[in-house]
Amino acid sequence: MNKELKDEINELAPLLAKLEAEKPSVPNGYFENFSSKLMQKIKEEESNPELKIISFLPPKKYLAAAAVFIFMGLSMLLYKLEHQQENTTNDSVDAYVQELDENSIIEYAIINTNEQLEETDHYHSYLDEESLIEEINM
Amino acid sequence: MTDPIKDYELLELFRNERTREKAFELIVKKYQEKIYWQIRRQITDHSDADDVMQEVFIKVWKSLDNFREDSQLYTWLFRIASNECINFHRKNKQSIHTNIDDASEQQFLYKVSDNPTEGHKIQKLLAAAIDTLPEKQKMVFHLKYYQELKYEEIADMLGTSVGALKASFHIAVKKIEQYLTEH
Repeated sequence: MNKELKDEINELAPLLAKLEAEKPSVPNGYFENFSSKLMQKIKEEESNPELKIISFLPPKKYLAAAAVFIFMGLSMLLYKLEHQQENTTNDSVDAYVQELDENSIIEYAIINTNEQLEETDHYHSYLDEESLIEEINM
Repeated sequence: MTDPIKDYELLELFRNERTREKAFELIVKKYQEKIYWQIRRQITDHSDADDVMQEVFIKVWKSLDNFREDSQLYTWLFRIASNECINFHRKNKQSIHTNIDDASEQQFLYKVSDNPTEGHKIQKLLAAAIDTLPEKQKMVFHLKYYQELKYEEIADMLGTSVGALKASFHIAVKKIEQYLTEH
């Protein structure tokens, strides 16, 4: 420590002034070569950039995002399956109808009409006379 | 003897693509010793200190474009080096104090007597006392006490007046003395 500094410290802090710092050794030529060694390292890093995972979200948010994606994926899958089933049912009915002969279709139509008529009669039996006339006039 | 190139001139050269590398080398050469001793005061082993030095200046190379010149260049470098030392200790799960406990020939040795144990004890106390100082006082103390720079040089580096620096150094010295007396 130079004398001027030592005197200055001695005036303010006698205990601190008693300390004498000895600098540890540094390898020969360290400061002379440091900048060129550093530039070499920077160039190496720039020519071989390491693959880095750029984190856009904190880890907890990744879990939440993954859960949302899984939920959306499952929903889409279920929706698709349901529609596929509906289409399959419609297609099979069409194919069945095409296989029917004319007589079977007429037979089905007669049965269906009779059933409907029966249902209407049943309904009319509940109506009073006035409502029945009203319904006929409509 | 010619005046050393000013920081603002170096920064201007750095912003020019053609002179970028040269300017960076000049910045490294201008501040490497000050930053090295700042690091070495906290990291005892030379090769560890060298790794941290490289990390500091690689960070500087990558982020100097974003340096807004709100503070002086040295203040900015000092802060980066401080953070890198903290990161080093965090990574190595060592505190500054445990490092000082392992004092070897490679460390700063302080002599109050010929007794090395007492020297190490004082050294540990001094490091702890410096750590209690606010950043600016720590920086001024480091540059004056360890680097033995003149007030004019420090004033130029930190962009402060000589009077303010003297006051800052004296306050730091008194605080350290008080800490040493009390502990």
